[in-house]
Amino acid sequence: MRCPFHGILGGMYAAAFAALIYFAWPAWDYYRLPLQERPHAEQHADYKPGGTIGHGVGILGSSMVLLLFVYSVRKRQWLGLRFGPMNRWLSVHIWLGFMGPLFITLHTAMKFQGIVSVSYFSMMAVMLSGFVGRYIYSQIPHSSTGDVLSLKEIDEQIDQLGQTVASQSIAGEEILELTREYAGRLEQPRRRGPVLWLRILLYDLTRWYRPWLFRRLVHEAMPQLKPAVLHELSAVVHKRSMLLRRRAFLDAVNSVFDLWHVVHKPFAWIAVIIMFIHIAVVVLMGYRWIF
Amino acid sequence: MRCSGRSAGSSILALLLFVSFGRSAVAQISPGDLSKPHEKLEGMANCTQCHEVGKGPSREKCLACHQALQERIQQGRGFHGRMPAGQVQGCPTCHSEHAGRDFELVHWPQGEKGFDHAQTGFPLRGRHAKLECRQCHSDTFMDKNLKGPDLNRRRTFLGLSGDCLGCHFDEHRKQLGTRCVGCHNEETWTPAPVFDHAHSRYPLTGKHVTAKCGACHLQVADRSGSDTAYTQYKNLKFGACTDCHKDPHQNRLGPNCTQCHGTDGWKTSAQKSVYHDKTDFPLRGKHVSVACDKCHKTGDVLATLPHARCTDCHKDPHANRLGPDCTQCHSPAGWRTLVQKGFDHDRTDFPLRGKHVATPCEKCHTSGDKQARLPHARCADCHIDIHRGQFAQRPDSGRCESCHSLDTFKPAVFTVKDHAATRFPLAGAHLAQTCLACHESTLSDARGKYRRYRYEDRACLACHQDVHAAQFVLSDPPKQCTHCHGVEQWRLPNFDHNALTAYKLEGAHKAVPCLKCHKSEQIKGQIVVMYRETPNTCESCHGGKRPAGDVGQKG
Repeated sequence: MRCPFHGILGGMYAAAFAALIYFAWPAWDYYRLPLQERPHAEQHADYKPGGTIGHGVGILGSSMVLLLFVYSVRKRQWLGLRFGPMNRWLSVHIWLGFMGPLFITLHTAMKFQGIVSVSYFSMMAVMLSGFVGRYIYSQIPHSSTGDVLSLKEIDEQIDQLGQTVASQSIAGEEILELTREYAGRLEQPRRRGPVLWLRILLYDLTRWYRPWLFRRLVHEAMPQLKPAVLHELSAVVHKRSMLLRRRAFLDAVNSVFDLWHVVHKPFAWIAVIIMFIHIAVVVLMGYRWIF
Repeated sequence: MRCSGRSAGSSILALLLFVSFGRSAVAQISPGDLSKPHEKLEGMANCTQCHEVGKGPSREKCLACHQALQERIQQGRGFHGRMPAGQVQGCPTCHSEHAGRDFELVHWPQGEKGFDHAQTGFPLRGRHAKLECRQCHSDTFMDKNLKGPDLNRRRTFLGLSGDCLGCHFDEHRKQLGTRCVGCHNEETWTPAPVFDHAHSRYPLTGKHVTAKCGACHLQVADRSGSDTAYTQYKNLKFGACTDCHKDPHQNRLGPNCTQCHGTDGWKTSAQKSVYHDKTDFPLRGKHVSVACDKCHKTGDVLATLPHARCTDCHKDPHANRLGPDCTQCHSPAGWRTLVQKGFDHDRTDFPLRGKHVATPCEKCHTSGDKQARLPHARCADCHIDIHRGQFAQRPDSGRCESCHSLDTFKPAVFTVKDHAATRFPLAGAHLAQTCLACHESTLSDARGKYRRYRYEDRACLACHQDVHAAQFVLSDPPKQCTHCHGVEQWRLPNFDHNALTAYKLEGAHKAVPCLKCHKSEQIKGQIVVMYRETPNTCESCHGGKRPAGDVGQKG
């Protein structure tokens, strides 16, 4: 049964994209004008960065960027704030981190000049690095609530799945042998770095193919096995092999993830600090939107 | 420990990034380069030169530099000074900034040439509309005192006064004041189309109107302007004609030329008649417009000419047939026009009387030759006989004047008395009828309908209807209407039944109403009282019984 949160999240993406199109569509010709011709365009009063609409989407995008940090607060367990499952917060964090910069892009009216452009490009770097981080994050085993599993918890899950496979040993020793062989290809990596990440990437790109290959091997060995049983068996075997694989690569992934944070966060801080400077300068110069 | 190590790394990287970006970013706090004229205001320290803290770009701060413009706005002059108060939201509304060094602060939506100059209070008309902007907006014509810290005299459109003399040289050298538009417009300088000499101290009349200005207003040498001379308009003498004109009479006839001459011309002057009035031949009518030398052929206008008779000058086209006194028919007002009104037809053998007097000559003299003799013995020589010769058999051969007069054709002068002389003298009720009751338009020919005046059959039934349905015409012998009726009236109050009929009324029959015995019958749709062949036996009226005491008639 699908979680209703995913539906809500889909709606949030749809609403945000609709709002983007709603604001950007009438100004399409304006954005395409050279900078020196824009002040003479009719839409300038509305769509310039300080205009009624341009300034409004800037405030909206900035607010979304600031809300990103709620996830950081939630993640700090030492603060004792454990509201909501982490995986949902991460989804909202990603939504904010993806849509906020797009609204801010509208606010810039494609004019990237001055100190605030540093903030903008930092923010875009954070957004792009976020996609990379999300992939790395997917390589780390998590609980259903999004909490990172300890090694002990990972091992327990692997054993549990192994027992499930064993309980379905109606297929006999041959299948167990195939299962072991399926999982046995995931030995501890000897080398880290780009080669490791190429292996991970290659594995993920061919992940769809592996259960099918397993089912074909089993079917060749045990043609009398019912398809439904075979599918259930392959799912369990696949899940267990994934877990085994991530268990085996965990140290290497964790060290890369730490490194990713070192890159992701400074750009975020730069973006936010300059954004605050920008807001302060703008307010000081008398641009207060509708207020 | 891993977490703290990660945070330390992040912090160090953030610091490095901020320092590396920050240094250049501080210099770029501006959202974009200022335009070239404002280039010197670039830099973080200069933001408040234009922006008021917390309020945005300030109009006052702009005008603090643009002082020349501020002065004009305060005076309500020029494009900015004439802008409605509600429309002025601030300088950046029109003059956007931070759009790059090459950005033009002054934007012309329709191009410079398309600018509606009327918005400045100085609409361009005539030749002004064809000039290039910088032909007027140049340093040459600009107010020399126009100054300001940011004023670029090569770029600004300020500094022109709007007065003609602000740009144009005073060709009249201060003779006529500074209000050029009182005489000139913006289309052309010469001739001055607005100028009206009538408003001057010397209104032009006659030939002075068409005379060239320079004939009176002479050139005065002067090299102070763009040319070498100017036209004199002031301090001209014009009290006497001789101030401008030479006196050909060399003062023989006095200094007042206008006694004989007018401005219409020297020779054809209307004042000529004034002079001639002093002679014994005052000029009247067409003589006034005749050129002097037409009569004074020698050229000496003061020479006395014979003038007792018209023929002293004019030829007699009648070859003396009508006598020597032309004025009996003609006057000086014109030869032809007075012929028609003044000719005495009584001098001919056809004096005009009645309506002939008012008839235009050409109506009879159709050839145009009014002196031609026309036949006129009978009316029909000119007039058409509308009766188509019905009276031709009369003893007078049907002469029109027997019935009609010259004063009017209708009504005719023919009376009842005259009718007695005709073949049908009127009597009785006929005397009370109008002419046209009998003489109706029953005849017609190619020219149309006309009235019958001649009747060959003059019997009653020629005009009247037989209401008895021919009862008496068929009787033997036939009885005429006059057997019973007279012309006095139709009804027969005293009809003598005994004398005029074969059935004598006696006794009670005398008191019986006529229609008791004479019954009506319908004959051909007409109700007819039957008189003839009325049954005359007792039984035919009374049946088998005879009234008591009635002896009756036999047969």
